[in-house]
Amino acid sequence: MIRSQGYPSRPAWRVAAADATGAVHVAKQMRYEDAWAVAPAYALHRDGSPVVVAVADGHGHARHFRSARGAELAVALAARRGVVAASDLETATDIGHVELTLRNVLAPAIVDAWREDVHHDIAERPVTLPELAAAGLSAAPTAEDLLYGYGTTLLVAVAAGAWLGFLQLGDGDLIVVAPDGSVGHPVPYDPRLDGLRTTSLCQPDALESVRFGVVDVRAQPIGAVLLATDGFGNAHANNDWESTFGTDLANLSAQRGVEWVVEHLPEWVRECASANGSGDDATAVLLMATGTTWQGNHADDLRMGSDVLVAASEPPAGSSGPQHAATSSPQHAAMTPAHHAATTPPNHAITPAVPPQSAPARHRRGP
Amino acid sequence: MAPYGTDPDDDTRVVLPGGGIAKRPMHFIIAADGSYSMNGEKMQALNFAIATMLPQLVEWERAQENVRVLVRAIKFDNQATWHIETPTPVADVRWTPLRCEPRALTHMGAAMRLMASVLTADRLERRALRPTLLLVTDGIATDDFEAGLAALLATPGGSMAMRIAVAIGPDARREQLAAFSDPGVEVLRADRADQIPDLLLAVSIAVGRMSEVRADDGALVAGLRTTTSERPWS
Repeated sequence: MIRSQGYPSRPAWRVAAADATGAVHVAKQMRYEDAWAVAPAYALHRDGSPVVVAVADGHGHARHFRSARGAELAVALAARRGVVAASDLETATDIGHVELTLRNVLAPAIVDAWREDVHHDIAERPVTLPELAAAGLSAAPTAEDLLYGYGTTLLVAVAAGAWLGFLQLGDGDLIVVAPDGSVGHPVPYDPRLDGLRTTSLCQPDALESVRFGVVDVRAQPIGAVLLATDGFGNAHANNDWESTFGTDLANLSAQRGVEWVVEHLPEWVRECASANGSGDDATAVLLMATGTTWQGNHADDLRMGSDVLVAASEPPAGSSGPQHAATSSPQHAAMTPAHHAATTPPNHAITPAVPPQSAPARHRRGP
Repeated sequence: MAPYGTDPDDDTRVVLPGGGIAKRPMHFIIAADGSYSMNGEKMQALNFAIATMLPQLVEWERAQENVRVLVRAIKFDNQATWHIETPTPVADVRWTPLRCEPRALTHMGAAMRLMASVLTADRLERRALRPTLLLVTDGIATDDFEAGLAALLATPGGSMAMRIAVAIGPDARREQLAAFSDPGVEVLRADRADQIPDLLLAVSIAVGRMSEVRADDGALVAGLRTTTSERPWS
């Protein structure tokens, strides 16, 4: 990536979020099992900083019988806890402090609070016998079985001051795009994510499986951040779709403007979730840094004209999917480590001091 | 694979960054025994069975929302060679009958290695659904089967694949086929040549069940047991 002239040292961010129920889920009459949240909610409509966004993908396997709820709980608390962490990161002066805050404060708080929220959810809405039967569980499930039922991935981005902090547990895509369209992966690769299984909030050693990343935008200007569930990435035909996505995003932002990009994200996500794409639930959140001088070029726009177009005439996911009996989708099941080295992180007693106007925008859908 | 909507005269297109989208590929690789012991009725039945199975897979694929089944085939005898090398959409496959060469042996290990060569991280699409590998044989490997199998299982695609073995007659070695098979999936056995088509039909149904949302390997095994009259080895 190259240093961009005129890039703000403390950018504000505009957030766009979109989701679509996968064509497979529609055909099987299954509910949307992803979730997303943005805090503060006004970032969806105007520029702001700090901003926290979270995306989650509830596991599709039958054993994870309440994974959609698990995903909702995860993004909601990640947004709330993330806002608290962001207020600290805004004034941070060194990258080490940012990383420690993510690793030692935010991640443990999310993992602990998610487990508590799951227990509260079960207490409020006890698991029924039909649910247990559908999950292949006995009538007397263990506490671990029940926690497993809420299994979900989680991707979080905290944009505060000069910092972009990331944490990711499980699969999905988290990429940063420089003003010149080059793409970076701020979070380390996890070789355990083989397309069939994923690390998860429900596993005993969830905290040890969280991956972290920090970017100092003063040294490495970032024009956009994409967080997406795997239903978005799996729709793309090319193995290296992220690079093309970065180039295309830079071109589109330069030539048509950020507002155009924000307006069209829902259309892109619908296409990805359609039968022409992954057929899986797709969710994507874009953070666009205001003040970015995007470096697109006309030649690439011409290439796009013949290479990066999809048919809009296809029915959008969720509109008219045929009711077929058999479908295909990756069967995500959380990894279940043989050992149960549960970590008990210190209780940081973080109080989510989120003022009413900063309440996260949280996505909820009924079945 | 051309992305959707690449027709420049189509004015109903929308711009989609990222290089275009497509249904997810599911690779289906058949490794068929071409040794001389398969000559005659067995090979005729196998060719008939594969030709019968493919339309079943086409029908299943058409019923899906997001899958593109791509077929390859290997024949193994004194060596392993591609019978269908290019991943071919199942609807486009026109099965050319396999033939046995006189005195041909059973180099099953070489077939494992040939499958492994296309299931490496750099050959298998990141977005590919779980591959299916179908091994059909009536005999015992005459080369280093264990090394070939190890090479296959060392690849990401080989280790994650649904691996199904079909034994024809009593001479196939159970230990080898069980080692190849997916854990929990019994080796399927056809005592007579006329049972082969039914077995492969069951395999094609099981492949569909394998990929159903909220199904798991248990459903696959159940599907194989209820759809066929085979007697798994105990």
